[in-house]
Formats: sequence, structure tokens, C-alpha cells
Amino acid sequence: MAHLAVPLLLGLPAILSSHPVIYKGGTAVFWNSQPGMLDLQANHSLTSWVAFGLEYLDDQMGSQNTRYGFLRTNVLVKRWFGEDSQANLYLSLGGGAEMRGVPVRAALIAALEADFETRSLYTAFKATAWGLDRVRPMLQARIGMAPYVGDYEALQAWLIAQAQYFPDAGGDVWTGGPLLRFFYRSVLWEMGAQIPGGWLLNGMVHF
Amino acid sequence: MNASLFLIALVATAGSSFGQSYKIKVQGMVCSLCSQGIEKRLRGERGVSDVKIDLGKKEILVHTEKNEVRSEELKRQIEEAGSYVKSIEELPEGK
Repeated sequence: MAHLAVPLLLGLPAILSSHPVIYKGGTAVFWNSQPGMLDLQANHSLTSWVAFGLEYLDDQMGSQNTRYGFLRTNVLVKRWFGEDSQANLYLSLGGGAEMRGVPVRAALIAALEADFETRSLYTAFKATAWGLDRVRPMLQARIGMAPYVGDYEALQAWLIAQAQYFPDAGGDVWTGGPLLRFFYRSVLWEMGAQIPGGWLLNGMVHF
Repeated sequence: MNASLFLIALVATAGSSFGQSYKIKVQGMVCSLCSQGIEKRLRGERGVSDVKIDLGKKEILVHTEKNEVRSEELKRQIEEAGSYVKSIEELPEGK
């Protein structure tokens, strides 16, 4: 089992769509990983609509072999409250450093996220681009359903289908597959598989 | 006579320290992970002794130790958690 642990934790396909802005005073820490890419973030919400954070992005996809560090500003642009639903639009901008040998160079990141959810349906879309000399765009989309509607104190479960388009992937530009999402109180975790291959393991904690 | 007045005053004072309960209707509260922020914000409010969230009814029951917690403060805490308060109702004692 030990030989599985390292790739499971470090190098497996994943897309974690999460709210980059949470409640005032709250901090969200999460990680995304997929073959050749690891994304770690910690965002602290100063208000219910703006959060500042740190991001570490290890991008080994395609011919890339680069690590980035960013300072991010995340803004909840708009939240729509339905009777039994909620929809959100987020914009994130960040600046930092691209570390690929010497010298270290400046880099930027931008992301636009939208989601819509009820207690039994979930959809999300995210467009991200990073770099400076060579911008690397990525699109992600998800749709999910809850097999049961759990109450506040219960373990929540979701069945989700996801797709990702990454033109600079170097191999499979389109990837996708099913995953299971669970959350209980302030902890969320996801696991699944991705076509054409690979496991998925993500997580997020709110403090 | 003095003893009776003292007892009446004591009971009245004790009654006012029982606190107050509120039933708060919230719109768009669909996710238990996101609703954790509501509970944390409300429990951080001084005087709040209990918070119960019911996603199905889209309501929050808040009990305060003393009557000094105002409904406007509860509303502000919920809005700072990113949710929308539809209504706040003070519940009669014992509810």
C-alpha cells in the first residue's frame, strides 16, 4: 500500500471547485492535484465578499517544469439567493513569481468561477490562466447530484461528473470522469477516477 | 410586605435572565459546509448560547442567554457569513 500512498497524495488527477471566499474571518485551505500538477491554496476572508490568499502551483504538465507562488485576491462578484438555491460568481487575480531555474521571473494568475447549487443539484464552471511570457489557460466544468438530501449534521455525499480542457497538457487535452464528494461539518474530501486514467483525491478544510 | 416585594422582584429579574429565542428564516442556505460559517459567526456573538440549523426548513434557531442580544446583530452575523436573512421572529418563552 505504501507505494500507492505517494502518488495518491502527490500526483493524481483532480479538480476541486471550491468557494475561494467564505464567511468573514474564515480561512479555507485546499489542495488540487492531477498528473503533473499540484495546486495548494490558503485563502482568508476579510469580509463575506473578499479574501486574500497564498497559492503554490507546481506545473509539470507538457514540457513545462515550473513552480509558481502567488498572492491572490478573490472577490465574490455576485451571489444570487433563490428560495432553494444559490448561485455565485467569483473573480480571482494574483501576482507572484515563476520559478524555473534562475532568474526567478514575475507571473500572474487570473480565474473566473461560477456555480449553481441546490440541496440535490450542483454545477460549476471555472476558467483559469497563469504565466506571463507564455499564458497557460485551463477550463473545468462539473455537474453533480446528491443521492440523498442530508441535514446539517449529517455526512453529505455527491456524485459528480467533471470535464477539463487544458490545451497545454502535452498529452490528453480533454480529460474527465466521475468522482465522489463527501463533506462533514468543515471538512470536504473527494475521490474518483479520470478518463483516460488515474485516481483523484482532493480536500479542503474551513477554519 | 417587604419580603413579598423582594420575591416578586427576584422572580422578575430571574425571568429576564432566561434569555430569548429567535427563529430566523434564511434564503439560499443549501450547503451544510457553507452553513458552518453561519454557526461560527453566531456562536461568536456574545450572549448566544445555542444555534440549531435546519437546512430542510431553511431556518436557524438561536437561543441567547440574556435579552441583550439584538436581532439586528444576529442578522448582521448571518450576512457576514454570506447568507441572506428573510425574516427574524422572536419566539415566546419555552419555544
